[in-house]
Amino acid sequence: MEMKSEIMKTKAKVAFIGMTSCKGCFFEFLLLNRRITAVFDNVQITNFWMLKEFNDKRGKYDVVFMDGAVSTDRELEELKSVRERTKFLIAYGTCACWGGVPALRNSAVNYRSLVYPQEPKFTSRATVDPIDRHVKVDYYMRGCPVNEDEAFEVIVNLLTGKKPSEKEYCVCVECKKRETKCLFKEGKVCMGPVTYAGCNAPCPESRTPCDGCRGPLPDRNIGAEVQLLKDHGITEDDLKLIFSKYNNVAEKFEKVKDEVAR
Amino acid sequence: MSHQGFTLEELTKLEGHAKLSVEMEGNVVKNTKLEVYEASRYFESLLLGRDYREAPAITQKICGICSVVHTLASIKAVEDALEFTPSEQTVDLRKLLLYASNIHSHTAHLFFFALPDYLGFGDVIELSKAKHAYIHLALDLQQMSSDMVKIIGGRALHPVTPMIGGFHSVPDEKKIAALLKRLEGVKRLSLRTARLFSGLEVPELEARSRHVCMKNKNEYALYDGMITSNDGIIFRPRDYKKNIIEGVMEYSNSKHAKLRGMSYMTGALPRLNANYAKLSDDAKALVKKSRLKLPSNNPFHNNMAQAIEMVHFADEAKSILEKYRNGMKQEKYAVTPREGEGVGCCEAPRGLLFHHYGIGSDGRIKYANVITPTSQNAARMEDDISIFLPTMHGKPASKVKLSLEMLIRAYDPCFSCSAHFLELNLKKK
Repeated sequence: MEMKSEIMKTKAKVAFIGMTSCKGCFFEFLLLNRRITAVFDNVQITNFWMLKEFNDKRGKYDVVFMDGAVSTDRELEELKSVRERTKFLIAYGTCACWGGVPALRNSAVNYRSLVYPQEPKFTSRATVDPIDRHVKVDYYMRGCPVNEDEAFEVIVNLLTGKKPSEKEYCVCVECKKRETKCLFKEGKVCMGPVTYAGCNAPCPESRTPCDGCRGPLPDRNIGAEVQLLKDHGITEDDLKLIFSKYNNVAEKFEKVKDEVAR
Repeated sequence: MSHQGFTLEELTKLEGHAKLSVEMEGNVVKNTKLEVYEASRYFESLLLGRDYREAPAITQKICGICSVVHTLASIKAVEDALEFTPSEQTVDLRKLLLYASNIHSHTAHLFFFALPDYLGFGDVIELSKAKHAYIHLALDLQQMSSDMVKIIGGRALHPVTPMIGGFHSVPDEKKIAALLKRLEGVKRLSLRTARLFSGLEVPELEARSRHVCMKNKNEYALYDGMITSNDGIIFRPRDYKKNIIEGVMEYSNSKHAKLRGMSYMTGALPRLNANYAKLSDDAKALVKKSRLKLPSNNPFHNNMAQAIEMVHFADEAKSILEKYRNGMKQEKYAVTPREGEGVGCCEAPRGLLFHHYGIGSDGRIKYANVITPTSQNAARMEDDISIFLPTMHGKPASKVKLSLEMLIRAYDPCFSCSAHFLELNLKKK
């Protein structure tokens, strides 16, 4: 494909850019450990403020790992500018893909006065948005945090000229692969049946319910999940809180909300 | 350095986005502003109306690198409000998680952010390309310490097993053996790290600042204790509000905290100064052999203190693991919601962390407040810069910039915690 010829000619220029987030997905990238030296040897990291002293913030990039949600005008301006200069833009982590935990403020009341008694120099936008509300995204790397093995797979794929494939099935599939006992059988409430896989289901494996951090799968059976949760004593109000924890964003979530309300 | 003044942009290799402005008149610093322009996420308001059991999983997202300690401080605050006392095994496992995650965080900060400056490399990428011996030390130590967090917590970042009351699952005999194996490596590599960092020559700076940390009579305190200062202040974490005032700066998205009207330092150096007697024998021996004379007032020594702490934490972790060689037992936790207010405090890698919640009789959160280490250190960093900058008089601008960055990095600031990226704006009159 075109990307191969383009990226393989010279060392790919890769940038890691951070917006509103906890920056955990960057630390997850560092957890590639010894594999990271191979990444450093094979790509040119031209912009990564967290690791580098001198960063090319105006140049063109082959691949960008865009972390975080858009919550300030400054971020939105940067995002749009980066998109124009980037061949392959990755929405890196749940904040970039869905809005994540920062987007919870889209439904919080009086959030400013509650946290800051008098307002500092704020530039916050009215809503916290996933990046595809403003620019085209070439690949979604979901998870709070992302999984470092997936990050490595994506880089290797890009370097060898393949478009990385997204895992379009639910967390339950990975639980079955690992032979993890279903949490519903222990009376716990799990979001695995309606959540994107790709994490290798570490939470159910450690007996912790999936809380849906990779976001809702498009062809999920939401109605059945809602019924399961209700059967386990979850109230209407809590259903909304559970389903909106990582993707509190209107248009992406409207359908889910309708089904929850039904 | 021109006399009309100049602007240096971008202080880097930090967790988060911030910028520094200094105004000078001649050689006297008139004003120092540490401006955090990391976007505010209003965490305290995000919790309102949610079930108390959700607090740890949401507040851990305040920070990617210290998510373990946010999780634990949050759990402790809820348990304090609900008047629940965790079992001895639970407390041991929480401490173990805290030791492993503090080693992981110290490793990342020391090698990825701080060390390249001392060795004359631009960054860790250059260090890696030079095939420098220290790169594998860093990566292997990170691997083994983060593996320990993963084995206990389910994930290396944003752990999932800790819950109000205890743990969703606890390590069995096999996992304890796996942890002991990792720990052997962690101890060996921590010793190398501590020798490396205690031999580094750091800039001189006698800051004579107020140092604040947690202290208790049994151990080098991380999980619980009284808040104490080097000038005799002592209070319970529950009384933090009477002692620590957080002010909003019109120029920053991070609050600036003061303790009874004074800026203060929190983190590894205050801990080491106050708790030296509680160190393990190996860690004590390292201090004796190092350039470090305790108590130290030089914030640059924070890096050395972190490295020495890693050895101590490894030793403490070992004594816990040995107690549970046959595996931990899955316990039942009887937590019931009730109306109450609670404070949870722990030592994060970069200093004191407070979580404070009010919970209604329906188990819903109705009040939340979080004070992070970086918002406590912010005012002290500004004061240190004001003392340090005049000592750099006549040095080339590039050297001044690097030294200031090293000073700020020595604090291991986490600007995403405090509201993240540093730009330096130096105005000279």
